[in-house]
Amino acid sequence: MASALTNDFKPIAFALFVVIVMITLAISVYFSRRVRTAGHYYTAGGGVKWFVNGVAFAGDYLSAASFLGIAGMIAFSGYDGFIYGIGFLAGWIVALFLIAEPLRVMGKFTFADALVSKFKSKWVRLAAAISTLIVSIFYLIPQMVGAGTIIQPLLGFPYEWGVLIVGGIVILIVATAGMVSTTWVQFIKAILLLIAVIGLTIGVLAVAGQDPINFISQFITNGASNPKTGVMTYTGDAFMSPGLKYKDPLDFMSLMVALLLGTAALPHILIRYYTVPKPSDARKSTVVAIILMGLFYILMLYLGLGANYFAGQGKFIITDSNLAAPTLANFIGGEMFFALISSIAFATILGTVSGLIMAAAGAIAHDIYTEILGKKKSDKAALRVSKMTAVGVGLIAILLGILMKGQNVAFLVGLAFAIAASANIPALIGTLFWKRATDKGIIAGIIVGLASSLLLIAISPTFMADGAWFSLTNPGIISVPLGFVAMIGVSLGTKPKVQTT
Amino acid sequence: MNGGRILLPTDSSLPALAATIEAVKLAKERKTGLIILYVTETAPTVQLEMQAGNVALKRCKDIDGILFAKKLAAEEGVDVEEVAREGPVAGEIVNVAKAMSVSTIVLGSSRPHGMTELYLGDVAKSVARMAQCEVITINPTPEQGKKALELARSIAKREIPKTVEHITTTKQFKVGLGLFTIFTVIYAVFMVMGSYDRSLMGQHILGLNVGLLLGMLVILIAIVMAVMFNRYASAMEKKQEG
Repeated sequence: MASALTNDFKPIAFALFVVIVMITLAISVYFSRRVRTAGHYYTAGGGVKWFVNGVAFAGDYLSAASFLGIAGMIAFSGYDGFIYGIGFLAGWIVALFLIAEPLRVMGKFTFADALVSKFKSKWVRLAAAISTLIVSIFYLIPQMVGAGTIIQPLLGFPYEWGVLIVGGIVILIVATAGMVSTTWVQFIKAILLLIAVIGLTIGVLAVAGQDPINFISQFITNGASNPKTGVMTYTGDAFMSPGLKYKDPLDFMSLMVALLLGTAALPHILIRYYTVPKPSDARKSTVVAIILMGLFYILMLYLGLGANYFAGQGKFIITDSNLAAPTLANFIGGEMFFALISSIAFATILGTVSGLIMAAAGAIAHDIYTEILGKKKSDKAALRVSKMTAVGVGLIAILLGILMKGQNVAFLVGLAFAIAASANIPALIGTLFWKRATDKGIIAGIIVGLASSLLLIAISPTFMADGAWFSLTNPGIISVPLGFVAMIGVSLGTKPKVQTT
Repeated sequence: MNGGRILLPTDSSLPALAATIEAVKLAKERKTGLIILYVTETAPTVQLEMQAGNVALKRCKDIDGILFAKKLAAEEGVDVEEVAREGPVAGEIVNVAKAMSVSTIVLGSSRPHGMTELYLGDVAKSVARMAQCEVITINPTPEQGKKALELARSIAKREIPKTVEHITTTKQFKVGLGLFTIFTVIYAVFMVMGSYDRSLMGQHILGLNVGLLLGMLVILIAIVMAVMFNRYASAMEKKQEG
């Protein structure tokens, strides 16, 4: 009888977990000190900063969603899961060619700073800050769900504990020091994650005894299983072509639009462009990240299909789609390997959550407290507000993470992308490329994009099940154009403000 | 020891501003020149980290420390040379001191302790340990700090950065826009096929199917375009600099 992962306490897994988290934190502190106090680096030339930042970029992006979510989505929905990887990467092309360098050259701190540099309006800033806050929280939810899901089989703790541990550690770090060198955490975690994924892929092919092409093509001829039962359920053609999860073609398209436009609009990705000294470094970092992520997403195909393959052979069943990769690791390399992969996944979540909370809180506090309320008293006070915002955002994320238990994390991230794309892309494009855009138009674009995407998600099948008023699970294809229509329409109906500087 | 110039590393922090006053005074006394050094930290940091670091090291973000040193030196008739470096801060200070055979390094120290020292380290301490010349560390009293800050604010306010039009009109950006358009068309074709021509996506080819091959191709095109654009942009930047 095929079995699923058990939820009992595993001492070895626990020890390994503690060691990996501690080592990650210790190395990040060590490296951040060396940047200031070392005599020299061991690497040649000055290339280290954009390479490190590029890997960290990948680390920011290859979150729980990419690793746990996509593997699960491919294992359960075949080709429709693969589409997430393609879309996630495509988003980087928008970021690289269209958004990153103009923003970086402007030398602005936040998304709102960039908009306000053209439209000197507090209301533009407020709208942008609200959008940053909401997008960040929606991106945090899947990370928290990932943490809760993985903690159960890894340590035997209940789901809620996983969410609380991640939230708690991050809040503690932010509240005490605020200097965790998230870049180094992201760097280490990206390297670990890539090693884990390469290791698992080799393991899958070795245990299956097939070459990379044959392994995929045998799915097309033999069909695929339902990993929840282990019974061969789908024909090869159904599983390996689009449409298993996204039956409505419009829903498939909607997801792809959201993924393409969402990346460049994610606040924590935008913020990372400001972390290196020169715009050219930001660009080089992006290229490094795109190469690593391209490799990663192709390998995810083997992880997801591997999980489906061995489930179909009766080796195990997968109870929760987010656990496909950990379950596969347990089968391939035993408990130690499972513990290693799960600990890396947990460290990944920790890195993403801390990076996101610190970036978002810094931005929101800067926009609302320093700029809108005009509190320019002291840096110390501003820092305190940033930290308090970080703690607040962390608490909201913990709460929502617990409420969203059981959802596939890649799917949840798809929603965050849709909101980011709808609210921020019309405003960004208008600011950068359209001379006729007005401040009122930009505000309208943000508010309409934000509100329509949130509303459409609330009345979608995700929240209303079968009686949903709106049939698409991802709102992108409706809400992104709505944001553009509002931005353009209101801009044309209002007069541009005369610039004072 | 004597004869060499004086090296002043500055980062616009309060102790560095106080050190600037001392360094200019010392250069005038010794009738020698001043080298002003700014080391850019190469570690990427997000905003909250930057903020925390700035507070811990008492950096004054509204002041241009290099401009302050230059103006002060000019007032006192001291010759200056400006040097910019990137890398490990302490290491670069020591390297410059050695390469330019300075007699003395004058630098400010905020005496970091506790969490700050754990995370940021003590640059002044590291420089004193590694340097092969005289090192004077300035740790200003609150009154000295206040005086330095007032003086700096009065003569060296920071400038405002560029606007968006500077980049969206460059040739490099237009090339990026072209590449983006090409990629978007490819992605759109792929998206429409995946949505409305699913039988074609399921066609068997080379042991796989059209959908899988196209998906991998889209990933590959993204990588190739990114690498090509970077090579082009780097070449353009080199041409502009040289």
